[in-house]
Amino acid sequence: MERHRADLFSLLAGLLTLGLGLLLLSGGVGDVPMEWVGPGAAIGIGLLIVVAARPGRAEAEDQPMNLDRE
Amino acid sequence: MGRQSSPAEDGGMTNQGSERTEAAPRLLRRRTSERVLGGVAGGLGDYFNIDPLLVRIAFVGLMIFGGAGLVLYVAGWLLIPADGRDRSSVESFFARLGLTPQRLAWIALAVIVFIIIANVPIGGPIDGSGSIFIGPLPGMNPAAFWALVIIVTGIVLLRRREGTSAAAATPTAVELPAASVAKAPPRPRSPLAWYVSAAVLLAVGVLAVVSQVAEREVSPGQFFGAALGVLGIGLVVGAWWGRARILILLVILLAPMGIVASFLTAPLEGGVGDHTFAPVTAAEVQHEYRSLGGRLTLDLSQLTTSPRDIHIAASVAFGQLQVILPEGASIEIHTQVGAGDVMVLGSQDVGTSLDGVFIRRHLNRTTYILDLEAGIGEVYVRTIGRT
Repeated sequence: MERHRADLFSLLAGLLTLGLGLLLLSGGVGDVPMEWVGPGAAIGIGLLIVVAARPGRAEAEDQPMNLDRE
Repeated sequence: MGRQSSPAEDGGMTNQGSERTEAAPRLLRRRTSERVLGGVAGGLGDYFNIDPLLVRIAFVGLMIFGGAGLVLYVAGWLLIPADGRDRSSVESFFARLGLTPQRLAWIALAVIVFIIIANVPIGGPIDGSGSIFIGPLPGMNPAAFWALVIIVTGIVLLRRREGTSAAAATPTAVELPAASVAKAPPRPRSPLAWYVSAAVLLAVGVLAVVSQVAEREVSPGQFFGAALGVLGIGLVVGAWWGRARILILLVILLAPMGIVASFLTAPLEGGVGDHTFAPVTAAEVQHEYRSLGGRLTLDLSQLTTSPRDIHIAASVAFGQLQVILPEGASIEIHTQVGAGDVMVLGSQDVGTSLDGVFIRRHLNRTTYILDLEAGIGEVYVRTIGRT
């Protein structure tokens, strides 16, 4: 697998998913105050959209990193 | 934001001196570059000449309100070919099976004729009567389901139409300038998504084995949690090495299921539907009443008095558990609800992880000792006078 420039979208989605997975694994979902779930989800999805909509994002991320030092 | 459409994409043909731009029909294709996930929104944006961000917002909106956005996106991913390809994933799959579009059309026609002749109920309830169910999945909005059917049909028709127009408008190889057909080489495919998918299965399998060996109960929500945890790690890795954005689709699919499953504290036993039990004698009383989904009513109001206490455990994974007791009964009720509400003899509680104990004893009367559970739903206990 080739290393590429940091993909913020994948990073953010991964961290959100990891957090949700750990929460479910710990069985602590019932302790989460439900009134915060909606705003939390809205903020998370909003951040993802902002990251995804950055201009010039795709071109920059598609460039593989040149790790060779001259 | 959106890509610049060339004159060719606009369907026009220009002549400037000796230069000639070939006319090409605008094709509905998924983007392979400048995309977020599968390039569906980008492709639709290009096709309809609108900003793909608007399409993405529409998908997210539909996802939140009813869940149709996810289904539509997946359908688009499967049915719309990628840029530079003639066949969608589904078409490629059927082609490998030797099923041409014409044959599929005949099969679809035969199914429709069968439905009409057999008078199959469309969109009827799953009532266990053996009738074939054709309609939305349980919990899915019927309007969203039929909207999906219409949209998928529209995409298929669009593909058919463009197939004929493309055939008519495609110039010969001699006419096409070499530069106009030269395309950027596709990005090499990353195996990361496959590795992560395999890791998800391994994690879930190992968790199941450990729970068996250690005799420790693992809830359905915890299995989903393990799967999502691995997917999250895969996405974080994919932020620097390889590509695994396709896993986000799996996340979108599994996350709601995991959240729902995490509230399923009640046993996943019993049937589906509305069931009522009204024992009259103590001998008719079962120790356990279980329902997977629907409404389970336990009417104990006409039960003859018994010298011994009556122990009953009842549960509904999804739905309502209703218990009717004789007025003035001596009770000891334990309730447990994952998410929903509990209403016992006028006392109501709404929320998640609801555990409660209700005791009311009267001397020289039969005591009803009830363990009542609902995963997602309601536990409702009331009394009525004997008739």
